[in-house]
Amino acid sequence: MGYDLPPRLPRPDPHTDEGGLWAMLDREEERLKRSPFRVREAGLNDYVHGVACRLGQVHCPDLRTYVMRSPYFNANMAANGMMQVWTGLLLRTSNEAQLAAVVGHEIGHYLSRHSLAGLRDAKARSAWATMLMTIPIAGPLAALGTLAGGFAYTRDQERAADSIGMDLMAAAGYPPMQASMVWSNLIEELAAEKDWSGDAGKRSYLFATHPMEQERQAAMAAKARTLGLADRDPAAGALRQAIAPYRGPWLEDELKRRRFGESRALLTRLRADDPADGETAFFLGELYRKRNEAGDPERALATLEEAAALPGAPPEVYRSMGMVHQKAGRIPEMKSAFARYLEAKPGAEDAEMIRSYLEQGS
Amino acid sequence: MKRTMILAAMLLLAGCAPPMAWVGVKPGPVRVCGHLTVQGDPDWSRMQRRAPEPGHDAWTMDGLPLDQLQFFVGIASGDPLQVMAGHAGKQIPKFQKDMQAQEIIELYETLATLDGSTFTRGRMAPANFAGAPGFRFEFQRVRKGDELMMKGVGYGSVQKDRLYLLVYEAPRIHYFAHNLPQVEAIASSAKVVE
Repeated sequence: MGYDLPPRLPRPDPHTDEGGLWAMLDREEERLKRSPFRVREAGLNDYVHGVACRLGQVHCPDLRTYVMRSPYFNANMAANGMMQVWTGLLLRTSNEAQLAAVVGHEIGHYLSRHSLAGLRDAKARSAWATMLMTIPIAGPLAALGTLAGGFAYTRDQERAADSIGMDLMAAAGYPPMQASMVWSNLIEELAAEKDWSGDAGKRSYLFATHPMEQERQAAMAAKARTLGLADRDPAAGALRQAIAPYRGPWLEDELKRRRFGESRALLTRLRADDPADGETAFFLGELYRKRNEAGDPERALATLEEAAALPGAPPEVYRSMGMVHQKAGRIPEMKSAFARYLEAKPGAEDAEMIRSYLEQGS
Repeated sequence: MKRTMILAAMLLLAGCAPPMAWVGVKPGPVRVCGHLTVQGDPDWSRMQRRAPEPGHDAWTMDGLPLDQLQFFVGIASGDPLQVMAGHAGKQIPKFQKDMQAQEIIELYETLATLDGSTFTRGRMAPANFAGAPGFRFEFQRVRKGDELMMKGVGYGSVQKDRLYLLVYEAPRIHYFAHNLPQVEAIASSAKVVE
């Protein structure tokens, strides 16, 4: 392994800069623990913490992971060992190795105490408060403003964290090439957004002017080639199993971002990963129904019908089919779809509304 | 340094006329955005903006961070519910005259989750609103900024291809239930004015 794991980091003296920072971060962590956005399911949290521990080895007792509900691709780690993993990241990693790549990158920052260097810099700029901002790993899909304008790690620190993360991955038994796949997937989503809406490049000005993602992806791929270990299992099934019971609401959040280009690329990828899954098919159908561009109602219906025939599609698949039929004036088809929805979910919160459509016949 | 910056910001703000003011609602019929009347209730204040947005009005009882009653009046096909300054890059959905209740609620949901809030739909049922058959819906939202648990209720109907929508939202603790009877009274008094 190309990286010598340092010993556990001691808690700093409270009278030092670093000690003061830790005290603030501890308070922030208390807030985070109580946040209604925190995903509290023990099984999921244990799983993510397990991945962090496998990577962090002796540092495991110092790493505290929190899964937070937010549809953006983001993870961050503070100097005191508090790590946030956002649901939008869990949705986007194709396997455990990709999750490990991001978590390992964050542990890399932590072990190198990069935020301490940032702290000194921030103090010099009288921007103490910005230290509390947690740092996204990926700019374009996350809080780009934070990276571009506020406190951020330097590019050298990012490169160093990428490299440490990959060494930790290799030591923990993951195939290191998956780290570069995280970035190629992101790049693919951004390109899809640009194709669809034309504004991904404008919005992600950092991405447009500094092709950081491409550079990092290429550097990671090069390092992965030297590390080898490509035949290892990336553990796609383990990740899927860990997130499956909770994924529905995250996919709903994803569509509410209304970045249909990005979401379509993501859902297409998820469908390819598991073609027999009715849930991702349902949400792809929902995407077309909500986007409602020329040809979308037909695409929606075809995808929803496909979803309904697969395991994992929620009862709402019939409601959406009913809505598409209703709009097109196909009343018998609408009635049959809505009836199936009510049959599958008799206590649905909109049951009265749906019943009224069945009674009106329109 | 920080103090100087705050002072500079205050001076800058003082140089401009306030962008809005709160005006008490008078009892009796009140016109909202020209095309809706409701029974006025002096417990409420309405937001008076320097540059009012056609088709959108906001009222409050206890102050805007706590509760808000929003009116979306006569939204034409092809228009968004509200002009979203600062969200130009977002693909804001537009109202279409053939939209079903479910989709109209999705329009509002998009607006209510732009900041990363989570939105959970509750009961939804047919109801008359502003003199026409429409719908009533309930929801819960965890507001991103302060992580407050909010509850809401809305009424909507489409008349002559235009959307009329009223949405009330307040903290789940105390405020929502306390103000709800007055909200329901305002909603049931709504009439479209040609």
